[in-house]
Amino acid sequence: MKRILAILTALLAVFLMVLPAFGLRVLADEDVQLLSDGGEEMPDWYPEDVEAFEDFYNDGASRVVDNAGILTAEEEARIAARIKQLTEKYNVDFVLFTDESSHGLSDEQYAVDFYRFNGYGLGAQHSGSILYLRVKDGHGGWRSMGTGRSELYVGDWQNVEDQDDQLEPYMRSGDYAEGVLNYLENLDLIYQYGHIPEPPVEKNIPGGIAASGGIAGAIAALVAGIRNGSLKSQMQTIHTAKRADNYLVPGSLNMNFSRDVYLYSDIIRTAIPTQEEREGGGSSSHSSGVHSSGGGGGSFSGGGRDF
Amino acid sequence: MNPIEDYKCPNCSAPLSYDPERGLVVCENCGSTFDINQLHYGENGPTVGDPASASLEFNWGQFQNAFSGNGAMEDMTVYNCENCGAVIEVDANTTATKCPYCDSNVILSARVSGGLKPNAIIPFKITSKDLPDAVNRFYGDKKLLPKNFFNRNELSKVQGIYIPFWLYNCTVDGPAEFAGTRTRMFRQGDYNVTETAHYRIVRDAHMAFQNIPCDASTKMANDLMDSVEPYDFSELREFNGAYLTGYLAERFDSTPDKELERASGRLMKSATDVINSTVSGYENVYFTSNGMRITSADVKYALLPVYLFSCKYEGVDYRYAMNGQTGKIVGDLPVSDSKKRGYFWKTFGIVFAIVFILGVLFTLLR
Repeated sequence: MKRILAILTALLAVFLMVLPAFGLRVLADEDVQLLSDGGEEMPDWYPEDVEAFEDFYNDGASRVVDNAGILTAEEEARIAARIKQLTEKYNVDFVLFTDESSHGLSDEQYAVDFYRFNGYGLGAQHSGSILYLRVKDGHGGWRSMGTGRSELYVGDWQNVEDQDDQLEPYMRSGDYAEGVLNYLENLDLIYQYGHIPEPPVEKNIPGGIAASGGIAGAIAALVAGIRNGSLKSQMQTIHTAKRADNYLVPGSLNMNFSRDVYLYSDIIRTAIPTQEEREGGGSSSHSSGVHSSGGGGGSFSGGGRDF
Repeated sequence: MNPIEDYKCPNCSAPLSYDPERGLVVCENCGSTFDINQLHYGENGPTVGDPASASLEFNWGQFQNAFSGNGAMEDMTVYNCENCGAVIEVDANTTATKCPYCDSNVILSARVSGGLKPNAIIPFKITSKDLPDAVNRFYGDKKLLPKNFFNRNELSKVQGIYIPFWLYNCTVDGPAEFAGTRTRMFRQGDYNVTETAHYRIVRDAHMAFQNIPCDASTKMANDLMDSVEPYDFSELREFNGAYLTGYLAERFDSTPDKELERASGRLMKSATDVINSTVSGYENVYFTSNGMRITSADVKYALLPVYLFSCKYEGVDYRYAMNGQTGKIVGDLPVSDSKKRGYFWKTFGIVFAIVFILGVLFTLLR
């Protein structure tokens, strides 16, 4: 018995010494808090103790953080400049954040955590919004979350749908920079009008006049043809009688027998298409009342799609 | 029996003629008037008040016998006018005419008796005096008539003529079968369901038709005689030769058996629609079999009033017929190409202007 225990202890010691050679390590206590529920390692900006985190404002933090590497330097500069204009115009913060993974968190949660834990947001309510793009190998998703004064604008369901409808083709085609710039243009309109207005219809007056002429000609020809046909039919007064309706003796109709017999039924079942199938594209997920990990900070609302 | 009846006034022996306005037989000379029901023709000429002698009316069942019994009369095409003695030839089917020499009214009584006597007659109600106004009203609303048609056409002599008609009374019985479908749509879970139920529908009906007219003269175009319908058959009268005075009349030369095919075609179409109308509550209904048949048929031989006239315009004859009871006029009408084009472009111009202006305003203001 003692011999068996000694052999087992020796084997365990060897095992523990060999593990590092295979790249495995035993988890230390201090490592546990850095992991999400999914088991992925969290990025460096993620606080060790989320519940003890205190909000702060980081004026110097970059408003364009491209961890996924989907933007060129020039594109980053263009987006940063546009964000700066919008911040000065509306006194709310804007952040573009890209990454390859949400590290086991939901995209909404990851976006909200990035916003809060990196010190974004103006004023006491930390007002502002974040557009988070999760992209890896051309696939991923995006979420747009707003808080403070921005929560109503960014979190409005119709605005989310309208923004996502316009953003989706850019994301699917990989034209991320132009998609973000279009998103920021729409955000500008949302802050101005509360929604994205319909684009003004450009008047094509010569085309309109030509179309009016064509339609008027077609309708006039049809009406004139019908009228002439009617006048011509007045000229035809001789007809061979084909019926004897006037000579039916009133009240002479007598039903000897009347019967309706059911034979069989044909049934056709058609599957009802889903919303996505009907629209040919994605549908937005909507989130409201999202808080950062640890429960602190303000409430975020918004939405997004996967692609 | 005298084969010719020369209706002369019993007072002054002048020709008599029927007056549609007053419904009386009138002497054109002395102005005497006679109730048509009391005016009869005996061996000594017309008398008033004598009871009418029985004369065999047309009977379909005895039709062939009636023809053979008067075979000798069928060949008669020449007569002597009782008034002036002139020798006149008439058509084999003419039953009433005027002597072209002395203008007396003549009834060929042999052709309206002995089983050939019509069962009924609708007397003329419209006089020839009413004709010009009626024709003008007929032309008046025909916008495509050539501009000078009214001025240049020559209205030929108007002839009031009693046309022979067969009036058919028939009953129709029998079954008709239909196939019908009813469709309903509903949602069942994640599916839209369309259910089409199929039915077999049977109807067996009896119905009657009365006085379906078919003209019995091969000289009259069927479509022209069809077009002057309808007649008001409540004004059918028992036949009296005096109604024919002042008018022409024709006897039938097409048999009731032959014309029955035309009458039955008309009534079967109507009968089919009547029985079809008893099927309701289905989105689609179509016939699968029709077993309806004419189960009884009877025919009356009647004379119906028609005015016939023609117009000549640019060398072309246009024929017209007017219902002598209702005044309805039918006939061929020439169409002016220039008027047709004019109306087309006038309508085109007005509609084009309105729609175009609206379209331009919409373009500018939206």
